[in-house]
Amino acid sequence: MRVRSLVAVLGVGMILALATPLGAGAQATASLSQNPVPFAPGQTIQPVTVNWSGQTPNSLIYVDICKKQSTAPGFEPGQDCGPLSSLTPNGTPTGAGSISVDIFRGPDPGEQPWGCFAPGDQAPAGIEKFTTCYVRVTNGSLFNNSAASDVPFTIVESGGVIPEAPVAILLPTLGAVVALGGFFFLRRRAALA
Amino acid sequence: MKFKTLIAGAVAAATLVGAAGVAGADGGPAPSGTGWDGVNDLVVGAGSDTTYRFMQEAELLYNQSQGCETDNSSSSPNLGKCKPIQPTTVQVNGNFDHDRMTGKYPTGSGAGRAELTAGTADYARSSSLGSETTLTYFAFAKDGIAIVTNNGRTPGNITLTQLTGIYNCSITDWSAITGEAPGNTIEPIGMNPSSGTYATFKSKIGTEPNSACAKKVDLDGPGPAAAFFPQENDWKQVENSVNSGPDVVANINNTVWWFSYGEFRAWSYKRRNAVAWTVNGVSPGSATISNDTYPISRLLYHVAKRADADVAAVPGTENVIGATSGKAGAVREFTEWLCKAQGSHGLNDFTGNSQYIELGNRYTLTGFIRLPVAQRTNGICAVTKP
Repeated sequence: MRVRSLVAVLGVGMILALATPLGAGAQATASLSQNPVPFAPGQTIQPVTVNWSGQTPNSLIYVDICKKQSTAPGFEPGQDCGPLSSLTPNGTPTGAGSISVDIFRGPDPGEQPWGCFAPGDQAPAGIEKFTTCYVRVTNGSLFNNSAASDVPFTIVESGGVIPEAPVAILLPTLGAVVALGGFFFLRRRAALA
Repeated sequence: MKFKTLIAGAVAAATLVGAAGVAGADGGPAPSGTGWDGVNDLVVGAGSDTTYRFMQEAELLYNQSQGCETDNSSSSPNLGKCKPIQPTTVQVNGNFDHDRMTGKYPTGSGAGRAELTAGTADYARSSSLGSETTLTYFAFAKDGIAIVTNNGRTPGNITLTQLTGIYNCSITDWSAITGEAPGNTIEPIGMNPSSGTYATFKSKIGTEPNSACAKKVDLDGPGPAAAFFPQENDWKQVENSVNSGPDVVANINNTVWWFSYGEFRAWSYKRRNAVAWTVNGVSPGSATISNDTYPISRLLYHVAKRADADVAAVPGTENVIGATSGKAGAVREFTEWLCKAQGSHGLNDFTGNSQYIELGNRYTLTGFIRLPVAQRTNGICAVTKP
């Protein structure tokens, strides 16, 4: 019985292993050090670190800020990515790396007729507003969509956000205040009587 | 009644002229003063390797302008030329009479300007500013110079002062740059001296790059072709070089060279295994080149004879003045088109996009960027008259 169980477990394990794509370990991924990206009122540039892995080793990396994902129909880096946001760090032997990228809030600094905005922002006339933009990482060529990893990001105004206090702290505190208030109220009534 | 008719005729004529742009003194529908003379001129550019690919794209887009409706009757003596009567919707803001722009294979910026001056080319491509007082330089893009080594050497930081020392042969070992153990002799590679990229680098480091210690490449070793300073922006020549003598690259991992940043990032086939260094602590990139924080940035030029294409003494207009017919007029019109701001462009005949958008895509394709607004003097260009 134990042998049967062992064989069954091994079989399930093998099926799961085979079902996982062989190249999954090399899947290109990317992430941002902050997301949503906080901007103080009036701030238009916020440096954020983008980390990536799974890119072709030693191949030149292209990091861009775009208004569309690479998989979107008709994606064209010349129109859909900011021309002045483009960075090209050297590739690494591992295919992983990181770099600081300047996220912009407002119209694209490279004069494209679009921009990345916080939800409450008003875009200037003639500028298309996007509240989700993308940091795009690929290698070898800016036009290499097959290796592209797009990290969606949003923008928040840091000065206007009130941090939410955890319920686990608020409830006991409120309870203690009510209990103490009740205690002193009853004691005062007893003293007056 | 006759007076009224005259007035009506004058108004109608003025309306037609207004729709077409400028009064047509050459006859037919082509507005004069524009370079449109009803002839499909074949106009040839020559020069820079760096801007060759971009200008090929620009020339193609210009040739794809909607322009006039043509006489397509195979038996007509005016085959391919503008019909005498054009629809009122005809586009007059880009290659109205369908001239044909084409670029010769690169020979280098200096050689191209020499061809233009000699009359064997109609306009020139140049990645550096020359001193010819008969020419007008229209800077249409910005680029940087990347400092590169082979990827067998870990990239780091290098200073302009160190580059000067390397190319004047006073710094000879990599240990002086990287702090590694001595023993790796630096092999600085020279460059085709007709190149604008050569001229820019020379002016930035303040010394002759093709110096006594500069290396050449030899593509066939003991074969008949001699070793030479390589054509700019093509690492293949370095990778394929055969060590055939003391003035030829011996160890690719000890070499250093310079490269158009636009070409470096746009074309992996030319970049190969070259990797870029930071210079004075700054990485080459669109923003650092645009705002000049990267220390080796430059302008890229379209060059015309001043008699053909010039700008008024007071800058600010995107109008280019000069020749009004023939190839010279076609050059003037092409120059103005290249430098026009967004609102002045017509549509591409294949995509329906504004030609400004199409040109923007070609900047991205070829790795260059438009000039920052603060640097523009005429349309999107900055004009220099040496």
